[in-house]
Amino acid sequence: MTVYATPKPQPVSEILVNPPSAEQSDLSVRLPVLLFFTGAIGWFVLGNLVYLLSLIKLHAPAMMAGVPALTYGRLVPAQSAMLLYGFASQAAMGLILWMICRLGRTLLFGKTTLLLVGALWNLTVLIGVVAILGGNLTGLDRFDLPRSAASFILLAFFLYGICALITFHRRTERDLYPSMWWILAAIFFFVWVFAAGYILLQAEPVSGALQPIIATWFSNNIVALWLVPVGAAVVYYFLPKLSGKPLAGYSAAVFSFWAWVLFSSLTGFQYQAAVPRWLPALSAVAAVLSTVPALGMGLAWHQTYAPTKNSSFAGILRMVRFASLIFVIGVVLAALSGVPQTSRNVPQFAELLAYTLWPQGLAQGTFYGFFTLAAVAAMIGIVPTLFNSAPSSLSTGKAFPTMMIAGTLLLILPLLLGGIVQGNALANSSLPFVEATRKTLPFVGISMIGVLILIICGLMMLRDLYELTRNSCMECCGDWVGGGSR
Amino acid sequence: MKHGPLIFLGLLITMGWSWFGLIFTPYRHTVAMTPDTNQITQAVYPFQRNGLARKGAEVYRANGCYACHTQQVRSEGQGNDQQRGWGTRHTVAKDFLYEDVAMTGSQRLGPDLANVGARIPDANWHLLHLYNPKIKVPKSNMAPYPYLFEKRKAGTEASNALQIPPAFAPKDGSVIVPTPEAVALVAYLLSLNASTPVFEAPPKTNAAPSINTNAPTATLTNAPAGASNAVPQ
Repeated sequence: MTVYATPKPQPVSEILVNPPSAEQSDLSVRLPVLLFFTGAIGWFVLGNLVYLLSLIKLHAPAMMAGVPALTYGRLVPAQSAMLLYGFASQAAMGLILWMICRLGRTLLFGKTTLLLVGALWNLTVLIGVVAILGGNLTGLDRFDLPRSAASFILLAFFLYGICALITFHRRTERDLYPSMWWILAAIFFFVWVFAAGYILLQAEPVSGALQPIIATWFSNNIVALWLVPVGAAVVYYFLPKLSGKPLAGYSAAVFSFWAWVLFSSLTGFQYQAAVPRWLPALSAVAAVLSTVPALGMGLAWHQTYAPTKNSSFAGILRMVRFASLIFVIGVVLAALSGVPQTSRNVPQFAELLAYTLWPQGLAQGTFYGFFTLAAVAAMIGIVPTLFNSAPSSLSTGKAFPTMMIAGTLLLILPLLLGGIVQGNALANSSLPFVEATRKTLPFVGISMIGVLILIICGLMMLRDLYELTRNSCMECCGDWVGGGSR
Repeated sequence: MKHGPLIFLGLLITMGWSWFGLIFTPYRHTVAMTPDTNQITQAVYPFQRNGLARKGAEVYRANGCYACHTQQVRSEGQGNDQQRGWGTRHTVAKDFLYEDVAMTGSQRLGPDLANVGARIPDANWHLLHLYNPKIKVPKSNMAPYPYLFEKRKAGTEASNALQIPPAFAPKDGSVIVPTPEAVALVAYLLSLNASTPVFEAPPKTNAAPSINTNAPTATLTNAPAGASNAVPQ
């Protein structure tokens, strides 16, 4: 019973004298983090269902053609909004709170506010998705939320950021572990990137000539400077902890951090034609330079890795390690494929792959392959600790991690391969255009299997969460809940 | 690194650098952007779309057409967009000067539409294609948009009814009439024409003069003799 009593808020002076234990930290973040995680997993399932439906519609365009809400053009932004804001951002927000309290050895500040933020966030995403399906689209790639929803997202994150930063400030562990740099960067960058996109594209829209530039900058940086930092924080936390080894190369971590935020923020324009020419050129150079920090981080993570002694966490470690590998490969591929023709001897990858499935495959590689794998691994590790329960069967068994990794690869690899095939078909001027699109369909079909596996994984996570919540409720007030037996 | 404020300052500077380079600098360039006036014909480009076409742009946006169709033609030597007949010059930022939303798109599951109004200037073609793409492109993978059309009872008189080939016409003899949204969307598609030469994408040096004149090509410009900003061939 006492285990479930939430610690009372302490004055800062008292926290500094008596740093809370890991259990106390976990208890203080329990409710907000669970709210964010539950929302995230729910949206993960829903978003992937809509994604699956959109891929089915590529194979059967006439299916349900009479329903405007289910037209392909609306399903795409709807799934993108569900996965980016509903799933990824909420998972990131929960992970950030948990890591700040754990690494900073402190208690969460502003629990009630954060619960309100969680509720507001989920409601906003729901309203946004309904609006998108109803035809309120922005017209801009990957800036999908309609204006009203975007303003509430900004407000909610502002409140969240204040609570997270105050908690960060109240930390008793003054030294900042690499994960904390990335977390600080993520909070700061989300506000800047999202606010810039919102103000310049929706609140006070700039001229149409500038919009593609802002939209590309936004869609690149919301991943490179929001999701990637949180993913990196997770890898920096879990990889050494589960490997039982200190992090290799502290100074390399410092260098990689600054180099990544410096260079990756300039990428993303490689495939754009309707922008001044110097932007794609600058982006191509920045993409090549981004490989340096990515390879640096990848090498450090590789040197840190060791098979875990605790088999309960083997699955989590496997997923985290796989995520880190996909991240490095993705950054290198993005750099290679974005380089425009530099000499007659170098193949024109950028020209060949632009506007095909390839850029989508790369984007999904970072989203699913890096962020989602890392975040899901962290979530299945963290959730049982919040209930003070034994590690979940998801992390102890081999099935779940294998399914997550297999689903992710089955989703990403066909998109990349399909992009190459589509690019080659498009480059052949004598081949009718429809043939190029038709050639992508078998690849999209394999991706559908990947998405389906990920949906099953999401359902397994929801079931696990339900079981843990139920058991916890039974333990605490079994008779009142109605079970009584536990 | 143990000081939060110092890291914060560093992040502010790095973000400022990205912001200055990729947002502020292009903003400075585009804020002063004005339409081009052709010295000979006095035609101004780009121009505002008419009301119906602007309404059609809203229909294009509301149905997410930009999820499959780009509106950006690459220059010669960068892909074969122009060989495919999608445009006679590459797209420039100025093409979107008067757009409410620049729907450039990023994926080509359907062909580029930057110049579709010039390529296929037939409104009836577009209406039939929207009703059922396979009428016009048998192997098309595009979704039909029946909800942009109204189905009326067989025998109803309608001057704007679609003339659908028997193989695709409703079996019960219903008459298919485009809704105002479909008419607006087609007006927008017909207005998509970014073939006017602009300073950033001049006509090719070996291209025929765009206006009918007996004067030699060189006198068509008020630039110094021999000067050209055209792409070297």
